[in-house]
Amino acid sequence: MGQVQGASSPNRIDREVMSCCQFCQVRCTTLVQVKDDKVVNVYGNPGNTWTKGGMCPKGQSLVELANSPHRLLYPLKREGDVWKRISYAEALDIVANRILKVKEEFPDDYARRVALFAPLWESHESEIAAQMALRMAGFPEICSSGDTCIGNSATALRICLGSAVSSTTLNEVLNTQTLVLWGANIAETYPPYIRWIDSAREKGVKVIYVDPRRTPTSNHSDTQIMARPGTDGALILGLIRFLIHENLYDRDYVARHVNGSKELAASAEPYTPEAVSKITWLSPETVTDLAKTLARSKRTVVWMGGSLSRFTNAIQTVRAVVALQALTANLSGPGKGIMNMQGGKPGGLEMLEEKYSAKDLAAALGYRKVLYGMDQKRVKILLLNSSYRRYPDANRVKKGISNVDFVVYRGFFMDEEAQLAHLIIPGTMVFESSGSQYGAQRQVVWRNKAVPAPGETVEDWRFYTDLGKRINKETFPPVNSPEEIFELVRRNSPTWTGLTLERLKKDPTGISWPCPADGHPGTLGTLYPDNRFLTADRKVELNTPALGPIEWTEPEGSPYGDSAEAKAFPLIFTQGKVVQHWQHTYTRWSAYMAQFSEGNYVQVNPRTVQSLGLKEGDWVYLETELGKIKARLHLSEMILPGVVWTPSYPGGSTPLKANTGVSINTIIPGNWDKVSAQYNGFGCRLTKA
Amino acid sequence: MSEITWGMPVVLDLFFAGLAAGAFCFAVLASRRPDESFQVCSRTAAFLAPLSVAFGLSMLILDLRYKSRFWFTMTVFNDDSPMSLGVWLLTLFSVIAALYAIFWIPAVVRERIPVIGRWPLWSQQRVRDALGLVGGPVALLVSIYTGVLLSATSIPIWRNPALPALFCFSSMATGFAAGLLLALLLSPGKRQEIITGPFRWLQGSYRILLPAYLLAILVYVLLFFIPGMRQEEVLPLITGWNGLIWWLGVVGVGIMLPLFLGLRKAKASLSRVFVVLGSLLAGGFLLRLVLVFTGQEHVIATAYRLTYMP
Amino acid sequence: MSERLILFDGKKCIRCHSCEVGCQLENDAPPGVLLRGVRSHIKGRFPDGDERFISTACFHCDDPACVSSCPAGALSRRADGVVEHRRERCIGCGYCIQSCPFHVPQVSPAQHTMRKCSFCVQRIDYGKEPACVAKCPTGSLTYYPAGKIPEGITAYGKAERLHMVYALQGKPEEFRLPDPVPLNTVTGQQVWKWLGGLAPGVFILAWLWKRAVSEEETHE
Repeated sequence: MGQVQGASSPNRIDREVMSCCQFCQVRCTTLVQVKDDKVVNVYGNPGNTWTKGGMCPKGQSLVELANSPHRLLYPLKREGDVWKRISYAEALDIVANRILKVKEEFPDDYARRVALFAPLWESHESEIAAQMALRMAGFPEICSSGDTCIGNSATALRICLGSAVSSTTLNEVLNTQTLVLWGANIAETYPPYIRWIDSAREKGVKVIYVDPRRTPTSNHSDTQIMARPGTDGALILGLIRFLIHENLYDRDYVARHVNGSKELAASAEPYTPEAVSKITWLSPETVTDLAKTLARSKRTVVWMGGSLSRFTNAIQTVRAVVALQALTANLSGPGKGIMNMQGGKPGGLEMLEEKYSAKDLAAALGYRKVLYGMDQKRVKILLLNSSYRRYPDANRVKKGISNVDFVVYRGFFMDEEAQLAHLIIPGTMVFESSGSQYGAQRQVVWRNKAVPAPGETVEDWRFYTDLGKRINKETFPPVNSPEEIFELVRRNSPTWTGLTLERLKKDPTGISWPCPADGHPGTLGTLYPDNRFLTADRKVELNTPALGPIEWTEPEGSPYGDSAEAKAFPLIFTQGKVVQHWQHTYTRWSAYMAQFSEGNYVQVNPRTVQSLGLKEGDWVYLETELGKIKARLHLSEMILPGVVWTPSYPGGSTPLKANTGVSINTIIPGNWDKVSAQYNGFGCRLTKA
Repeated sequence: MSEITWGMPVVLDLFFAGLAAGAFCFAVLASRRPDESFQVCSRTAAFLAPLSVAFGLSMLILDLRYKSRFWFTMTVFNDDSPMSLGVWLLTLFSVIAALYAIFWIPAVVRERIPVIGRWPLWSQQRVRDALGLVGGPVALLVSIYTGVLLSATSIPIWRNPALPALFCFSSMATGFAAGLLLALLLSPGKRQEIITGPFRWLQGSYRILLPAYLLAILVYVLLFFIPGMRQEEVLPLITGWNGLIWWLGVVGVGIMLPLFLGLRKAKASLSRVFVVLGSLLAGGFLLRLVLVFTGQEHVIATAYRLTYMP
Repeated sequence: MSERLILFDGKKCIRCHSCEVGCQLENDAPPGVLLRGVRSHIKGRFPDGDERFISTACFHCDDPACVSSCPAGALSRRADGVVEHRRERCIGCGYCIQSCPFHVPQVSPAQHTMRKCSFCVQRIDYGKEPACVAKCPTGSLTYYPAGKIPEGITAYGKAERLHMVYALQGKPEEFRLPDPVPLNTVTGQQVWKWLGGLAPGVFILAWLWKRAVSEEETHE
């Protein structure tokens, strides 16, 4: 099942197995080539309608990583300064007993003493198993990856439209007239999706790209708007004001489907083209031209990049995007909507969550509160599944984690996270287990195990199921395989009914949720047909007292704000992904990825450093209020003057020099908005090293 | 960008192959003159030739990335490839030079060689001389082949039609010099006769050979400046540090100095002889050194070389 | 027999490095040996900075200099235009590197041979497209097994019958491609090169011979 006969050349491989990639939300489906029970290559599955068989190099690096000699293969227990190898059974015992002891020791106060940091790499089943295991035992603190970054965007969408995910799917870009890539560097973050943008342009769709950097995505767009980073909210409010003043918006639509338009108009009033120009560094004509273009566009999709979420003013910015699309009647129907970068985690799991939780489960307070709990030495056990260096002010996070009595690390290599652990239980990589995963188009794909798991590495679903059974002896469901967990989910979620294993195992594209009936083709396109939004009153909600008015503020720590740092750190800090690395994580152990990497560097416009006497290739210190990193200076005409951009991949633990460096989150201050953290927009400076 | 595929082993191979060819020619030429001093030089050069080409070949094998596969070249004859032709040519030349050398081994020593040592053939001077006449053109081809090898490539400063002639003259000059120098070193008792005899003869030869060599150098350089050629391609060779080696080393020490010293009519002192011969050898070595390395340093690497621009 | 062709469309390339890594995995090339390489060219000043990319492997020339240069029988041109490098015959002499006008082959030190793109013969002979084409996520690299690229596409190398051709967003020299497409230097004018050395060489040797056999007094 799931194996495809056929080969690059028949004598070189034994079999090809249908699988998928572990990294981004494109969730490329793949054909894994196996020889002698070893993975020798991985190709994209040409039957996938989202990717047409394309891949990026990250997924391919897994071939090297799965076979890496540096990989941890056995559970390791820390004893003083040395690691002692133990069996999985022993390791499981230790973790289970410790968790049970926490409940014994703190019978009224144990809920927040055990925490889990996601994401889990392996599969949706492993997420479900981990949630069931902890929530049934009364531990609610499962800190998802979005807690620090995309949570704000998800929250804004959920509050305004009723669902946290993209309002439509990628195929709708072929039905639109104007596609706005708002900080969405598709070429370097979601490479296979460029085909869709190219096809859209061939059909006449105009692509507008908002980004302070010229990137490979620029070559696939018609115009680019290079606004000052973090001022997108001001720009959008300016567009809104222009549309309202020039009466270029859909009055009828707003009257029938939108709450809060009056408050919106009041919020937007100060944002004249001149005011917006001063804030965003764009000319007033650029602002008004953009407004007119969007007004004229009969159908518009706005695709928000992850960078929008990484400012402290992000919630408001996303609300403003919703407002803009609401004004132009672009939220419902074909060729209309808002997409974001994490797009499409299938929902409909509320019933399952409720069923498999402790009756009196405390409310989850989230990552930030857990971190405070660590500072106060209240957290006894941490299940760490990914990198802590993805959180801002990483050294502070490290200190917090050091206060935890017992840290269990589920990783692959002896990296910085492993150094903080008391017990390492190495995980399997994507080729070594079966399971389902999901992608940005709400698609659910099934992955087949291609090769045996090496050593005593253990799948996430197995570890958390074993743990769940140990700490919830009577109540944990009797599941013993990813298929059984998947069926458990499906049986308890009416909108998953049609997502059967039989269909998924044969489908190279995956099936998009919701899929509420047997044989249902899955749901593409808008989540809100006929303007029936999923809010309480079915209308777009722009007036939310808890979040205040839709407004724009300077990102916290901005050099153009009022803070004391403003003068000392005059350049705007931005960071981002590179196409060959999955930020902060184990692609750093790949020599193939090292070929294109060079450690810490900064990209700045020559005008930015004119007065500093710096030249191309110099070593500089990139410094913020938190500290400094030594980096190579690269001058480029491709970036807005006054802005510094640095990549997020370097870290210190691998033997590959080109991939190492200092984690940038050690100098990114922990600034928060109401929901999540900031990675862009605060001040920094460059000095010669 | 730099891409040094061929390093010092190749330089040494080119130098010693050319030297061997020149030494062989010198041996054959010197053998025509009946004087004892010439015969001594001829014998020395006859031994030098096969040893030199063997050393050159071992350097060639040393340069291979897959050394144990060197014999693959003897299973293929690619008439388009100067490298293939050259390997066969060198093999043929090595055999001829080795056989020729055996003729020069004194009978007393030669008869100790098992099996073939006692063949009456080896004492036949006419056979020896005939072999020399056959081997001469082969040696000439060897000296030219090193130039053709480089000039058939796409490397800008190698791809010059004057290179084969240049290497031919250089091979002759260095081969003759090496043969004579070795004879002076190995036969201390005959030094005076060698200086007044073969060395003086050689001086006369150099009065034509060295200007021809110099002319070849100038033609080589000037060919880059004719319309349609790209003169910037030769600048890395004739300017800068490489230019210093080229003009001071290859031309100055390797041609002008021996030429100038050779114009003096007075009888040469031993030290003057050593200077003349030594500078010829040094110049010939520097020629190959600077050409091989400079040629590769400035290759326009058009494919593959990743330029990652952040 | 039809001639295989790969077309690179510079409009679509995003420098994702997928073709480079994909080629290495398929062809057992270790990190550091990039049989296919992507390069970029930036021009213009802010805010009109423009960066375009090119992905090159071997050009699979119609008259390959490397085939002409190989002394060990490791390189050959197939009837379908593929210039194949067979590792099991390669001695690592490097002559193909020096001869290729595009400087395509490179040393793979750990493997003790030269390496060069061989058009994924182990895939195309089984009806599959080359690895680089399969891995490209944007369709920038496309494979034409019958060699007929669409009319109206201007591509570097098309007229010269290269089997990897390039529809560039810019001039060839911006991407460091030699313009015009260079010819085979190994066979080109090789006879003249031999003669160019032989003529003066024979002349000099003949003159030296005459000096050697003459009755002229040589001693003082």
